[in-house]
Amino acid sequence: MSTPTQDSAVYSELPAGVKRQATQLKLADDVRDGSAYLSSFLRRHVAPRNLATAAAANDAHQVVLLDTVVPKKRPSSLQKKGRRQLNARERRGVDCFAASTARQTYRTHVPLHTLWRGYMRSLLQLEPSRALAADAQHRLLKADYHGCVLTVARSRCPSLVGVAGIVLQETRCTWRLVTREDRLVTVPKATCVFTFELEGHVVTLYGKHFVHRPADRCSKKFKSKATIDL
Amino acid sequence: MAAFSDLNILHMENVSTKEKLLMAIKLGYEVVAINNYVENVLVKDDKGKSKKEPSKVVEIPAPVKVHLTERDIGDLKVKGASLKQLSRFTTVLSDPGQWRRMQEDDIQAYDLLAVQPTTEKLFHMACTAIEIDIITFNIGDKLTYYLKPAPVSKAIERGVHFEIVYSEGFHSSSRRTFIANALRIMHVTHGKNVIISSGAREAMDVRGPYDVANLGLLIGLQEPQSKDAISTNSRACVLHANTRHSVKSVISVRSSSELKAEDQWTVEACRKEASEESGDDSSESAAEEADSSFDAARPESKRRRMDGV
Repeated sequence: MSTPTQDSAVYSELPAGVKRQATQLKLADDVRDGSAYLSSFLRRHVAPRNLATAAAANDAHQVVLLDTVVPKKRPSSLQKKGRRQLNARERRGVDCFAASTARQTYRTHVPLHTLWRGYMRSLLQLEPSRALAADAQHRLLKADYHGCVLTVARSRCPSLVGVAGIVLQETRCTWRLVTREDRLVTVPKATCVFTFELEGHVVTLYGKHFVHRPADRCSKKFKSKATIDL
Repeated sequence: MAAFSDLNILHMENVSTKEKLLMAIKLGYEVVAINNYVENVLVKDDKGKSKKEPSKVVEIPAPVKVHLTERDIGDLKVKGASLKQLSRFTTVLSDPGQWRRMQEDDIQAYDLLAVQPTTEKLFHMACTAIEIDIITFNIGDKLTYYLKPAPVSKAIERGVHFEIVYSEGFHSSSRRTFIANALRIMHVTHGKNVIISSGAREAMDVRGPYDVANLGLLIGLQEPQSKDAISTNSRACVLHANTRHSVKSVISVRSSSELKAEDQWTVEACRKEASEESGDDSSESAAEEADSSFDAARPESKRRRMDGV
């Protein structure tokens, strides 16, 4: 009989005195033998599917978690997206407002221009003989220009002067115009002066002070600037 | 470099303005402003019954435009240039209430507005608050107030210009004060937003642009600054005046009849469209049909892409 050591206290055999009195103490058979006790303990406490691993771990003197570990449920990627908005880069990536670069024709946008003329007429209450009222002029600042026929009257870039077309899209810094030659031209606002005519009124638009998103423009308070120079 | 300009040709009852203009053309100026000088836009009751109310309205003369023949501007035509005539209104600012009078239509009809403030407070007001283009000084007399840097820098930021009238320097009595005052203006503006103009009472008062630029060196301007004072700065001043007439410096509206012949092309595209539209009105259904057939001629995929725009 080996002497019990500290490392293997559980696995060691019972002392001889105890063993002799086993029947009087009514000890079960498996208790007298350490390994038999352990296997019965495992059978009682470990789920059957983990038993093989537990036994193997026991043989290899490894630590094993006997509880059934339920992993925390992580939110799926779909749920995550639903909660937060797209960031600026992603929004740019989607590019849902970009005018299609496919061949745009002038004629298909003529009805848009007709619609815009009607809109302007009702917005400004135009009368060809009378000068435009001051409040009507202020309304021009906040008007929608999609469908307007704009001409570049002056520009820092000489090749842009004379470009004319129907406004297809307005962005913060540019107009996108469809010209009579069915070209889609992107014209920067900041370096150009634009003109258009409405029922006998010539409107000049100084692009330098018009660099605003159209959605912001309608709620913006415009302030006078020092000069209209390019 | 912008064209040479003289923004102060004084219009007087008994001296021919045309003669001065011809002199300016001969010397090579391309932009000229004819100045109507009105001492006081508000005349108060001297008896002092009610000092606040003006007893009579001062008649403001209409802007002057001198008719010049092709032959008159021949010297400029040779260079491929032409003369641009502007109108300018100048008054002495001695009361804050005058600004209200100046906002009326008869004064606003002028291209350029200039004031000559008499006190430091009014100078401050002219620099920071009221919408004018030029601040001028009675440069032949001693300035009665100190030019503070703060309102001056504000004026520069707003695009208001300071004027130095060089014809005052020709008289021996005022030459000393002219140079002293001009140096003070230079000192406080650092040569920014300064214009030099003739203020000519007679044709002989107008000097050639290069002579004026040399005169600028005498009053403390650097050589390029001196040239700017009679060209680039004057142009900026005129543009500032145009800005004043626009709606929040974003849009300006004119009647089509005011559009010059050389600018007609800028509205041609619009006119073309408008005339086509009015022509289409009678046969709208036909036009629509043409449109739809035009649409049908395109492949399905392309049509959809265009609709999505």
